[in-house]
Amino acid sequence: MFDGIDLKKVLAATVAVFIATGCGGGGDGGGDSGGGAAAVENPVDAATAGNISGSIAFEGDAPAMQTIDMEEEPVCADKHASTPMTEDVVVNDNGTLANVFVYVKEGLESLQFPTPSQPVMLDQNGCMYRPHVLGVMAGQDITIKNSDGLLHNINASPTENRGFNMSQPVAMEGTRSFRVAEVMVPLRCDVHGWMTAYIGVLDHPFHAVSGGDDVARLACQRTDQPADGTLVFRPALGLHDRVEPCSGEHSPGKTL
Amino acid sequence: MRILGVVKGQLGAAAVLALFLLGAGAGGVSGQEGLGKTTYDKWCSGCHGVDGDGRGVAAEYMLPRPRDFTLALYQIRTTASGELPTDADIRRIIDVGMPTTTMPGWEDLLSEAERDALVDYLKTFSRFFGQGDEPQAIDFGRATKVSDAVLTEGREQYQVMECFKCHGEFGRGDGTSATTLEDAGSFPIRAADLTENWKFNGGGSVEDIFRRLRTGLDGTPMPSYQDVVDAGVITEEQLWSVAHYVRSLAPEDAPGIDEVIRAELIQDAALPTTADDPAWDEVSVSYIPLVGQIIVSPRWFDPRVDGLWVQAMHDGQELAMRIRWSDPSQSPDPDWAEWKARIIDLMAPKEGDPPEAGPTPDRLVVQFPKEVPTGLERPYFLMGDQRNPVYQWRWRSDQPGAVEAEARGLGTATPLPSAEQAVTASATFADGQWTLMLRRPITTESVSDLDFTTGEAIPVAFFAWDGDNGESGTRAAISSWYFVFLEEPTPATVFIAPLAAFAITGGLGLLVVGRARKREQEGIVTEDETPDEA
Ligand code: HEC
Ligand code: HEC
Repeated sequence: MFDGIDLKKVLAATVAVFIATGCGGGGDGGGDSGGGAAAVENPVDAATAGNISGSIAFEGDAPAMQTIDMEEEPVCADKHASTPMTEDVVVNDNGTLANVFVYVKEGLESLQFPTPSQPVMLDQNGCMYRPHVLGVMAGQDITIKNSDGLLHNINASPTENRGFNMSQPVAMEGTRSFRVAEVMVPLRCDVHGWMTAYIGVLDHPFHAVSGGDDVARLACQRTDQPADGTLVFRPALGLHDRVEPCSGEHSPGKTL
Repeated sequence: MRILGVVKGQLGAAAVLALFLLGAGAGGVSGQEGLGKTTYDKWCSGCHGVDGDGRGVAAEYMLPRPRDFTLALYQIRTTASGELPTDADIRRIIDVGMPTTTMPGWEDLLSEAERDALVDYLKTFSRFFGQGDEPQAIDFGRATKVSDAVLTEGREQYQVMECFKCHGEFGRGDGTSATTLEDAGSFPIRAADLTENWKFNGGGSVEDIFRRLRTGLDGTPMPSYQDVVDAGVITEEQLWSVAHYVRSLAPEDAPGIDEVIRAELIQDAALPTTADDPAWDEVSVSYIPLVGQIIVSPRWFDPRVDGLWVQAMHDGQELAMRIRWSDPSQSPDPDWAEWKARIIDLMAPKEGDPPEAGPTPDRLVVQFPKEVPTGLERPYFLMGDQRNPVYQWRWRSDQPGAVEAEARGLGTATPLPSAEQAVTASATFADGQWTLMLRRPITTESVSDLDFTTGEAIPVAFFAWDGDNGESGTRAAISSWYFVFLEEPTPATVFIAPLAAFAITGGLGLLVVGRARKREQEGIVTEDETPDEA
């Protein structure tokens, strides 16, 4: 469907990462799962750590998403004010790209981070996964919730981890986790073929997902080393590496 | 010679491929390598690939595709969803195979030592084995007792659990989500037909079914219901009730092969006029297994219709035959259009003419010789040949009635002149099942058709097409010759010696059912897995 997109062009021309803040506390991990990162097992040196935040600008013509026919599931259809659309490429009104998973890919190998005790939530609401893209740490609990009260199955098909295929026929919750880092683990509901989600599993808390606004934040550890921040677009756009040095020298708005 | 041809022709896809591979894999195996590798390379690699990636030379003729062992996704386990199987789990499938697929059972062919060695060797394809603890079998407890109340409860929970979304209201694989299901390799996969428990991959007993509900079938859309129990939404006892209910959707025993379809003589009542007439409930039913047509190009390796339930009656004047079969859609059904396109894309382009364009109906053909043969000689079962034509009743779902035709080989049917058309048809479709009644006077004026006789075994064969599964022309499901026997008006005389009939037809049906029976007898559930018995 999106084969026609020239990925290189999209990237070269459109991906912007802002270095917004100067070097600060490395523990301010950003991302949904960062919660407990203050108590690092192998502390990050606050003096040399920094933050990266940014937005992902999308230029060119956004591919048209497909409408989802929810006729079979009136309960879900009724939850949507307008016709629900697939979420492979979601471009916000301000031209930023949502659902981009950004994480530090290299440079943290020598460090160990505690697994956050706080689970992350993956909801099934209106026969859509909320969120569509999610980051967790290996071992961190993922609470999978069914807010629809009708049958969903959650079929995870990782390659580095073991998967699962859980049934949730009523409003209920279940918990799962992944043992090792893997970017990304696809999830699918076989009952509703359009329902897909992606989980980025990392062994550190420095990851973020670009949202409805424009901010993706992650911390990098060493200002003297490039933090290999990787932008992971949903498979419609593929995986892309962007190396960005994590020093204070960058001015906001730098285009990569 | 002809007979041999027929018998061979009836071997199913699995058997033929297995034979083919037998030759294909034999070379190049070094004697020094372990027994597991030697055995694997010889017997398994043709389908599963030398590297265990499921890409053997024969793989693309199959749906489902041979398993890719590198992912360590095993359907039939006694372990939780996502966990590795135990050695015993792997060994069991190697022993008994997977009935709806081309995966054969190896119990009779390979020694115990070879099969054990295969288990170890399969595990070497995936790095998941050997990490962490040995997989532990779940304690499944004991089956509850079945009763009407339990079945009612099971039916209710089947609704609450929404099994129907995939499996359909009455389990025939016709749920609304069935059209989009995919396996782990993104290949289309069917929701199992729950009325055919003898074809379940993991065995058809209540215990087997319960296990599959708890563990799910990894690598397929069939989810585990363990979390539902853990969350207190359904009790374990209720899940047993679902298993009992599912078991009750299939007949008590796996169907045997009735080589002879008995047409009962109805003397005091009229013959049924519709396919739904309750009178049909009173007469015996024969099961006729069908297999893909893989003899004449283009062949068909993915037949949807795998069996017919056939009944017959006559009143001395007319013969009525009722045929029922599972088919998830009334083709052409737009909801299945995408499925059809995918199946054709995967299975059809390999050889021969492209499949019929446009919407395709479901079809059924009942075939007879043009005359009751005096000896064992019959026309070639694949719709006869130039010298020995066959006589057929042809029905299709997009046209009323049925047509009598003569055929001289697959795809050559020509209708009889309209003045000679005498067969009538009545068909209904409901909940993933066709019910078709065909009726014709026992004798007619026509010279081109068969005049039936009573008290004789008359050869009959069947063909079926599921249009929404991309089937048309030679891409069909076929049977070998069976017999229909119209009871004599006078006290029944000698019935055809079943042994003779058996000897003539033989074939895949027997293999399938024999295998199912064996599984049943041996019980795919073995004692050692029921810990609470120890
Ligand atoms: C004719 C092709 C064919 C041959 C030969 C074959 N297999 Fe298979 N096998 C399959 C297919 C197809 C499947 C997948 C069935 C499915 O997914 O439902 C399968 C699945 C399996 C599975 C998965 C069981 C599970 O629980 O999911 C195992 C184990 C297996 N085969 C072992 C073997 C071994 C060992 C051999 C050789 C002795 C062998 N197979 C030979 C076709 C074959
Ligand atoms: C999301 C779709 C889906 C749902 C929901 C689902 N199933 Fe299945 N089920 C499947 C598919 C697909 C298969 C076939 C797997 C295969 O062929 O390898 C299957 C297979 C089965 C089998 C055969 C197992 C075997 O050994 O081959 C049984 C029994 C079964 N399901 C029962 C149920 C019951 C009971 C429920 C509800 C509690 C249910 N299923 C819910 C998709 C589903």
